[in-house]
Amino acid sequence: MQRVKNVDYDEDELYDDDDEYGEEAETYSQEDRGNFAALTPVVRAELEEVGLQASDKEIQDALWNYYWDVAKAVTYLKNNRTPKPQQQTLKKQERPKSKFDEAAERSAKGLGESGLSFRILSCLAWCGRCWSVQDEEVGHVVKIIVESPSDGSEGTPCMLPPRDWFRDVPWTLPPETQGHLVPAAPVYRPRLLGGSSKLAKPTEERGKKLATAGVEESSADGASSSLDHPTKPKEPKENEAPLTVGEPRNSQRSEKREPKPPPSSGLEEEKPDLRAQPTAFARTLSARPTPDTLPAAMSFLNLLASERSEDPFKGPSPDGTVTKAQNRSKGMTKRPLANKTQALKLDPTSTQATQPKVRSKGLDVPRLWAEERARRKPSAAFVVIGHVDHGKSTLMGRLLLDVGAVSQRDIDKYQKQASEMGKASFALAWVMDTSAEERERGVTFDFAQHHFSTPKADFTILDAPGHRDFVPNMIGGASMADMAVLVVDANQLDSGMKGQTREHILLAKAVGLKKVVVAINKLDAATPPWSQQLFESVQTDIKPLLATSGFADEDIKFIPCSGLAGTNVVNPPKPSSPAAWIPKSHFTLLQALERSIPTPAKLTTTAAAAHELLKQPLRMQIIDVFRGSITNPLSIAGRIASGTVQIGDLVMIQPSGEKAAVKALDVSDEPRDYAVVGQICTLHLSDIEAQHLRSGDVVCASQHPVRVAKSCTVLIEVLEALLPQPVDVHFGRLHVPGRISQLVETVDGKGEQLKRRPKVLKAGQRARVRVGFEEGVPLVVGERVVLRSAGVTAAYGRME
Amino acid sequence: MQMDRRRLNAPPGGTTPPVFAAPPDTKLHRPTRTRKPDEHRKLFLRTGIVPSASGSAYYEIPPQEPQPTGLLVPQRSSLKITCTVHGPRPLPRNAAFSPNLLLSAHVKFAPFATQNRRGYVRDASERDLGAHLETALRGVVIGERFPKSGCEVVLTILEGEEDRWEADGAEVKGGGWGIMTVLAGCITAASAALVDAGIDCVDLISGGVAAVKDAGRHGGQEGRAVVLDPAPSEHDGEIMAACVVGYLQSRDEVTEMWMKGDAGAQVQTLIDEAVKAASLVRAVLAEAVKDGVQAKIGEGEDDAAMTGSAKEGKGKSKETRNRTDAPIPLLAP
Repeated sequence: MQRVKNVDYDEDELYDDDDEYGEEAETYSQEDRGNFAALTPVVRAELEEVGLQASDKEIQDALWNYYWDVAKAVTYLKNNRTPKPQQQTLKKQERPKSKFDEAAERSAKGLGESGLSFRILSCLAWCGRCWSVQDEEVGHVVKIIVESPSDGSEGTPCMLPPRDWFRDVPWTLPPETQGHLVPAAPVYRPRLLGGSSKLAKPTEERGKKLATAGVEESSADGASSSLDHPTKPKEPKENEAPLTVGEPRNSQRSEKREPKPPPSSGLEEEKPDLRAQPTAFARTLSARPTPDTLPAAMSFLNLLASERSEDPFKGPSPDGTVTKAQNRSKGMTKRPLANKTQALKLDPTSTQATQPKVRSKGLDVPRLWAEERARRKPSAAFVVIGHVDHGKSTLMGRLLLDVGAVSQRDIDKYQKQASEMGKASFALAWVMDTSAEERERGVTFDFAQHHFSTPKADFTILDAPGHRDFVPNMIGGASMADMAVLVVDANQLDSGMKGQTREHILLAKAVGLKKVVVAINKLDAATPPWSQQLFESVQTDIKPLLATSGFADEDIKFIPCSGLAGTNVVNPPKPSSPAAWIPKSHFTLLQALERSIPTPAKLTTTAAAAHELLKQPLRMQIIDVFRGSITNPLSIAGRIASGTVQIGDLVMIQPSGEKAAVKALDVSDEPRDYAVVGQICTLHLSDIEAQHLRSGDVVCASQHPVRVAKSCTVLIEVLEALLPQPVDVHFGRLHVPGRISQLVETVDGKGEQLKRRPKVLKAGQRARVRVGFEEGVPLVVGERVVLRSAGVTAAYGRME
Repeated sequence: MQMDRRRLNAPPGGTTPPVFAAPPDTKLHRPTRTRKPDEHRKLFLRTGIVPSASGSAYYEIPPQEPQPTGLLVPQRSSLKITCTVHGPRPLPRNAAFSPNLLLSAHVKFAPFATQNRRGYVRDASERDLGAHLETALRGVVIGERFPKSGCEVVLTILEGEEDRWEADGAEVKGGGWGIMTVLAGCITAASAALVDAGIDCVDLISGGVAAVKDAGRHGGQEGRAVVLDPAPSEHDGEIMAACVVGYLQSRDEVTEMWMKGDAGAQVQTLIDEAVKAASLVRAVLAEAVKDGVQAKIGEGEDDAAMTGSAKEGKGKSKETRNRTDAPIPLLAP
């Protein structure tokens, strides 16, 4: 019986030696060759006497194997030539009949193809050239070749696979007879050892072979010797002796076992008996009461003396009852007409969840807005653009200081700090550049927001970075603005024209800004100061640039000014100064801004469209995510692209798809109840994790979420030659890596198709292209898109 | 020395078991073995008793005979083992990568499990039992299917097998044979709990004990004989050797064997008897597992539907079913 796992080795290991051996034999030394030459004819002569032929190779091999022993080599070759069966029987008769031989004979005769395998154990000790057993695992056929030591082996090195050495070795009390031969018990072969997939296939194949072999045997030689025991894999079990008499190892034990009742039958009888009834303790523990015959089991509930109700969560929860009562008492039932907010509340469960925290006032926002707008000053957001170091931030600082949005005290403080750092001239810029690094380097990195109001209008400044590396931030800022202020350094026009002045103008157009105020800055530092010629030459240089970018003449205003000195920013210069020419023909910067605001009068043409925009579902791109205050731990800022939002609204953030409630809402740093399209507002959210919010995400009405897609078609104006290539795609604040997957067609000004599937798009063409993204991107139809590649703006257009 | 600092500990030298005074007219009778040598005690096994564990089982050898009246102390110990399996669950983050299921077995005697109270910290014999159990289970669990996971098998022995008859007093030393029965019970209980936890196994493993007893020591004539499932209190110092095996019946494989004492020439017989005991236990184990599966499926369904859904329901239960069915044709004479 085998209850021991086989110790298996890789078969490959076994052949390693062989290979080496063969290789060695290939290279005979000089001496060996001499021996060969001398001895081969001798052997051949001997063989020819008997009438046998042998090739040189055979003779040489034989000589080599017997180490130049001519006599042995000749015998070997003779044996080799003579027909084998006779030879073997002869040999056997010569030998004294050992147990091994008997068994071998029997196996040869009776066994035939049966699955019994024999192993030599003592081979270990004297396996030099004695008997070699070739165990061909396939089909469990055991071939036994017996040769006398003097004859040598038949070219097979005496090598048992190591796993066979220990097969069926009893661990204790080996029978005395077992010196040489142990018959293998038919082994139950598990189909799958330990679930290893590697072994599974060969094992399965072997199993199949065994099965077929077993079937054949049992049908073919039913009347064979006692050894013939069918070796189906599962046949012998347990305590039965697998082999019958004649097997040295099992004989004693099987005799001993004879009188015992067959264990299988005993087991079957006892099987029902062995199951005991549980003790009271066990019944309590398992708490699965068995039938009524048993005394009633004590359950834990009995122990706790509590009664079991069928469904404890069936009725309303205590909290729910309280909330319900409160709502009723506050008259929440008579809510006003079906307003927008109610329509927005799609998800009743989540609204209910948020209701105790944020209660919507249910405002009719469009109507309120119409009323309020009539009372309100016009408002606008403008983005300040221009090349780096042309004085954008300083000009804005001056503007804020002069309109009184920033106190002189603050500026003095900045002045002091800046002069400590050796950058006294940057003091004004520090109003806008708030981060430590921006201040230290004197370069704006990210756009900054600031609100101020004049008697005539409310303004939001978006100060964009001028540096080339921060163009994405500039796009984000510009996308929120209604108009642009282009700041140009009168003294360094060239650097600007080559650099970001040009690109910023393009981008301002690309994000849809119509009006631009060109502030020609640093005229006080010109030689001579406030030179009108210089101003005009700059004007003539800039104008064509704006015109080619598509700005209409009447939408451009040129203002000479000095941000650092504050001349002509808010206050016109004194008549005595060299800049006295300015007030005659030019406005101050502030006046120009006020006049550039899209006035309500002008809006009337698009009033219907604006009203439509108001009615549309909410869309707002998140510009910034920040911690507003302790009460509002999570706030987002952005410009509402369409629709309205009010306190208590349920909004959805795309692409994360998470929902949030608007807890509070600020416009221009003042708390409001609602915000409408076009306003830059801050939403304080609740019921959402910060991880679902990123700048660039789109806030939308939960009822009408924005589509998140991985590709879109874009109608573009091409600025640089384009192939299907990877590009950076900018949607306002969001910029994602994408790829122009297909050039669909080129179109003319009216959108008529010119050419299908162009190979390349040249600068100046209009075209429709397909853009793919790696990740899902919230896409709004009609949104402006800027495609950049390798740090330059390659194209801009609109989503379709 | 590992020491439990959170509790008031018992004196380190161990305690003397309490001796209870019997009513004056009572005569104590040493329990004797009434069953046949190849008869196993009845046992009770149920799975799924701990809802919070992935798998659990309760194993019990209830007293086979009623307790004589007038005595408080039970004359025979009744083995009670609970087993919980926690896993397969992910290894902690700082653990090294393991391509196989990391199996760990903990065996703990409850402090009140035996007459000599046990400590709260696992002692050497408990750790030894754990190691044996782990060896037994390692051969049956298909670890390759659960890489990067661990599985804990926790056994609590609520009542152990006594090494000697209680009335013998402390001066009679037990041979430590009770622990063998405990190990066999642990193996069986752990197997049931593993199946309950849905951990893939190659077979059900059952534990079996057999002992060589020398009746001649007390004037019997039989001399040495092998008995299945010895209860040490019934054999008054007669046990010479005992053997526990963890046996996979349908594979005819032994994954764990522990022999103690001097079996002399009867080693082979002893092992075979232990295997026989294990295969007897296995019938109960298979039934318990089957019951557990059926309880999970729900008792409302009729039998046919039950069989069908059991086969589809879980890979494990299917395997179990195959395994339980497999031996039956083999056992036919």
